[in-house]
Amino acid sequence: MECAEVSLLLSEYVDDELDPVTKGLVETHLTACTGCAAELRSLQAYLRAMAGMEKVGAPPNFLAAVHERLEHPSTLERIVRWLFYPLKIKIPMELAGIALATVLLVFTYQAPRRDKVQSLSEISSEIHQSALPAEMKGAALDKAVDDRAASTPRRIELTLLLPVPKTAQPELKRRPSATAPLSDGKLEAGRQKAHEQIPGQPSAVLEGASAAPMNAAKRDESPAPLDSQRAYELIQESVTSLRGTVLPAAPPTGTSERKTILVQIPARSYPRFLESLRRAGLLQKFLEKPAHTEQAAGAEEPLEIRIELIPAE
Amino acid sequence: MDEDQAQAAAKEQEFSWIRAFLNGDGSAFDKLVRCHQDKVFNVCYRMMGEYEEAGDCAQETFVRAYRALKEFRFEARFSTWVLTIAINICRNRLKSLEHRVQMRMVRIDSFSKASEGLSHLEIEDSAPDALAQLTTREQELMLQKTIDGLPGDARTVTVLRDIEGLSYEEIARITGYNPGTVKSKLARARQHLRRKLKGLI
Repeated sequence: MECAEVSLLLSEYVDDELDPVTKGLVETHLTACTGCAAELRSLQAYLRAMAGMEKVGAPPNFLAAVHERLEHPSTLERIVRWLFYPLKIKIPMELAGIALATVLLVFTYQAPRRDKVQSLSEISSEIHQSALPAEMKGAALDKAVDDRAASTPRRIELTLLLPVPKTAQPELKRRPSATAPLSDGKLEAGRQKAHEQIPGQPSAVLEGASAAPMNAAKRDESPAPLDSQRAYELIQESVTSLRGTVLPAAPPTGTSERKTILVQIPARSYPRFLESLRRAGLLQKFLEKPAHTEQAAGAEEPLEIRIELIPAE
Repeated sequence: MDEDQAQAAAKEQEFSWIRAFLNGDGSAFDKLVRCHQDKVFNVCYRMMGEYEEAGDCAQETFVRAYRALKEFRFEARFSTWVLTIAINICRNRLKSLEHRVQMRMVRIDSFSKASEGLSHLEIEDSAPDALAQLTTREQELMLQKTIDGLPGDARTVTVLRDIEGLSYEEIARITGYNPGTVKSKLARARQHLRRKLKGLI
């Protein structure tokens, strides 16, 4: 028998818990191995020391203290007994703690969610009244909710379709992006509608000038065709007259198909800006009054408007 | 044989007190408490390492025993049953006070920094009677602090076997471990303690 094996068996050996054969093997090894014999003496000394420790008895008033606790349990004991004992279920306190923490977490999580749901219902009702295509409503709804929750700086995305000549083919293909989910805070509009989105505000729908050809017969005045360069100049004039600026960081860029302009005007001038766009033929009319217009008008801070011009083909 | 007879007589006496209690004799429970309070208190003290904590755990043990006595099955001894309650209470309390227990864990080589008058315990002497050179009070403190450094399961088997002298079978019944596990846990705990006390025993 090896020393390592004997070392493991010494504990049972001193307690006389080994079977006779193993006990004999251990004893044979101990007579021949001074190291293991020393270890045995050390173990026996340890056991003597432990067994010799003072027996600390209960204090004289122990029984009275037990009776006191039986007759007047603490508040915590009463609560625990009231909660668990009638059920006859042994619920570890850890489990009870986890359950409590879960409930608290759910409540904490649900509180802002409830606010969001409330906002959702408000926005939903606003969007429901608009003329957005059905597939866009959900996306616009999510976007509006996210924007409201995020309380991002005041910025408006405006996508305008430039008027097309009367001779142009009114049959317009729907752009794939018109049904795509919103991305990067920009709302893509269909060819037949221009849609504006203000972060932190409900969305509203504007009927783009491109709708003019289809409705030309019903209108007294029909907008003249505009190219993107002319549209840019008109917008620039309008912004300047409203004491706004065309931001240098956003010159009319893009390909011949799409141009983007970033302007900044006083928020209160926003309705007048829209009106000037309408007069310029870039915007025919509101499908409905944008809910945010008055709010924007009441604000004093600068309002950024990102305008994307999509020329008709 | 006499010891077995004494054990059997004690067991029967406990059973009769329990039956009396279940039949409405409240004083029978007091007899059970008086008979076992010292053993329970000592186990709690050695498990917790603090007198106040030990008193609280021991009282709680008998309070729970009082309420659960109607479920006693008259198989094991009352002492085994009540010690099972005491060990569970102590171990749960130790878990909840783990940070305090960790604070009390004292390395044997850091005893010189202890503030309880043990600054002279940096004993390099490996003579077998080094422990005997210490006063009884110092021995107690040193051994208790070493026990406090054990994890809960090792501490339980050490207290029940090496201090209380219970059999492996009783320890298995109290802790819920099988006897083989009790043996291995006890062997490892003893090795650990002897290593910590090296030079003193």
